[in-house]
Amino acid sequence: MKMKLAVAVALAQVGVLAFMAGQREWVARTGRVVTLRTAPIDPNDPMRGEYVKLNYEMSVVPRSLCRDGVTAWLDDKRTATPYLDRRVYATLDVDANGFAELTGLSDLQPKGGTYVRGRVDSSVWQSNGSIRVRYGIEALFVEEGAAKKLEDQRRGEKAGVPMDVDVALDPGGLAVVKGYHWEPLGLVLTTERPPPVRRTVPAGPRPGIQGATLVLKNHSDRPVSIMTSSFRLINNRLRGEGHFRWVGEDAARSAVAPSDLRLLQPGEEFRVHLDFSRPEWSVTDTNKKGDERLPVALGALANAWDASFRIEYAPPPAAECTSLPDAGLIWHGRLPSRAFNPSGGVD
Amino acid sequence: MSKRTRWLFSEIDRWISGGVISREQASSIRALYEEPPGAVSWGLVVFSSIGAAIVGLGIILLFAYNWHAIPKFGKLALILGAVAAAHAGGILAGQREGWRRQLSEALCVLGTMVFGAGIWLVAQVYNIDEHFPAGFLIWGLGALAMAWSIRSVPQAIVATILLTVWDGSELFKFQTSMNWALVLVGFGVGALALRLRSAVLTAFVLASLTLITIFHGSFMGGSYVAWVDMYALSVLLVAAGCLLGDRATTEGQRGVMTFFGCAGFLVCSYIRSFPFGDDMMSRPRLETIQMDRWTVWLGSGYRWLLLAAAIALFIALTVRRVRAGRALATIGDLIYPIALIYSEFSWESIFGAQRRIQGPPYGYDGQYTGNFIAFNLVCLAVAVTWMVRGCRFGNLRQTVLGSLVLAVVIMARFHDLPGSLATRGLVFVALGAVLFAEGFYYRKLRAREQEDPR
Repeated sequence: MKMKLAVAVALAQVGVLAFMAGQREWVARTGRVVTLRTAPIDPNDPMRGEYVKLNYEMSVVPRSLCRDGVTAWLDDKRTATPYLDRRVYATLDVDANGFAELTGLSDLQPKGGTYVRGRVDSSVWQSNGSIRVRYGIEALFVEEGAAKKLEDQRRGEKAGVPMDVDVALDPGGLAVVKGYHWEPLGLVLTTERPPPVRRTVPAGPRPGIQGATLVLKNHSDRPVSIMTSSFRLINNRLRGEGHFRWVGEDAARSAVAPSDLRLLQPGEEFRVHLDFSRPEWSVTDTNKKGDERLPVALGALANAWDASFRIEYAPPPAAECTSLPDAGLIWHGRLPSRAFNPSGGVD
Repeated sequence: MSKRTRWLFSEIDRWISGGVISREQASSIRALYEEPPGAVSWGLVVFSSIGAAIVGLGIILLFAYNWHAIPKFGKLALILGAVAAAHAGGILAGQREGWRRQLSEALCVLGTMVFGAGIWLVAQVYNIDEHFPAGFLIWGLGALAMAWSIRSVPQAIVATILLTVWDGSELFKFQTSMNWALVLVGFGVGALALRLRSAVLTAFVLASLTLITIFHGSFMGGSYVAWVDMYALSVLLVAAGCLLGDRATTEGQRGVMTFFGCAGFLVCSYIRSFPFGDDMMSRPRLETIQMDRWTVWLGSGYRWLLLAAAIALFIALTVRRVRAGRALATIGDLIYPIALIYSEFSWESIFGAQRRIQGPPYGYDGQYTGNFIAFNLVCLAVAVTWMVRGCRFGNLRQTVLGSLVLAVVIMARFHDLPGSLATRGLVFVALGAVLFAEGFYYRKLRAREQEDPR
């Protein structure tokens, strides 16, 4: 046995582990902390035990946010294989509350600003012009049994409450998960769909979703104010950009009024019904041209299988609410519902 | 003590009591085969190393529980301390004599296993969900470095398994072709296996290289490239085994190489001995391969390197045997390079696709080329060579293996032969007659040997 060489190898093994831990510890202590919105599921890794699988909003990047070489990858008509695992950089815009929003994805490292580095995921989804990215922060390891509890919480007492992850970023884009927290509000969506018409044989086509009931609940231990008219229809970005556009996007936003304000005590909920046959819940098909591009009520889109939407609670920014009573109690985050298809499917 | 030595020592006692040799002569013979005092007990090394590996796996699972009661730095201190302690214990024990020295190997294996556990523990503590095959690569390199530093077969086996897992996970999970895996296993571990003259390690290296070759071949160009790569590797191993044949010190390694070479060669030839064999072997078109050109060229380079090396080794072997006056011994072995050259360069192989003939030939309802006839002949040639050689040199194992290959090929053709039961029956009668004749030939040669031992 060559003792010196063996000692050197043993020290190198310890050194590799110390470097791995030290690098992450340094980023966790000194990096810029941003908050990312997630939707968890709970798998199990035989080598590392239970973990909560974190799927970020920015995990699927639409074509409109792709830059430089990434756009060319999307245009490549071959399968995604040549681009798997390629290094990419996601630039982020961080708001006053620390929430980060994706503003672009490039294969070139940004010169500055806040960004996180990732890799093109193995399950690339290019057919609809979006790309799936893995940032190396998709797992939150927990003690055995805790992942199931978290998932049960998400389905039960914390139904509709988004989980946010605090992530520390180093200047090179390396991300380290620091922890997670639940938002104070939860949004639960229940769709309404009439049964199929049975007067004909075979039964006629079943109508699509005609409306939805939304329940906003205060899950925190303090009162929270909400704006009762701040719901909007958005495309489900996890399915790509989509070609339907809500008519409300183009409408001017009305000024905030105290009558819109509602104070929710801890555990209290606010219930609202949306009628999708009404014109304010219409969408236009951006794939159509000219006269064909007329608004269609959401309830009449039963055959649009490629459409996927969410209802989002998006109150006005804090600057617009300063004149309102108890303005400090208003929660200003965004709260998307589960995704649904006008033909009846709900994620 | 080896099985043969144990047998020899027990026989010596019998020879003394029978008056065949004197006690002094017996002592002289025993002295020739006595093992050195510091010799390692392989039983202890193997079992303690397996035990250490299992303890290491247990530690991985224990850490996987992820106790929140243990603070982050407590977990890190535990794992770093465990790696350092296991290696320090192993290295110090290696400097001592007796059982402690034998324990050294196991402690170092434990250290490497805990090192691997540490990679995943750090990932767990810091919620790292990055490119996971990199963890196997780092772990495998750590094991390989330790294997070289303490010249350890168990460490090298751990490294071989980890590097194979690394390659497989890169390929299957991320569709990334890792040509470095061939270099690391072939040269990194293979060179150590040659240096240590370890047949067990050689077997692991060859099993790993076989898997990696099939993985890469399939990935680069489907079944055809996998088949050609495997065929060339098999022929290379047969040649290497023959070249090592004269050295008694590498007898175990020669056996392993010959086993992997002959088994690979026969399996590959057998696959192509079916009329539909060519359908499974469509040549890839470069423009359809979903990879960058550099990776494709490296993959092609590996294939041509194997081909060239296999043929070069056979040329070297033939030259050596001709110089030694054993030209006749080469004739049987020439089947391997000839079949390899045929598979790559024959008219049927290159233009077979354009020369397909509509079936049903011999019960096969489809198009076929003449290749399957050639590969049937290759299988039969190997079988006959083994049978003749086995009989001539009194090698019963080779004789039986040759007969088995012959029987398997004939049985496989049962379904391909013309529908007449009479024809099939005649073929089986002929096979039985050949095997009978072989038995008589073997017995006759043995009897002649006993009459004239020269």
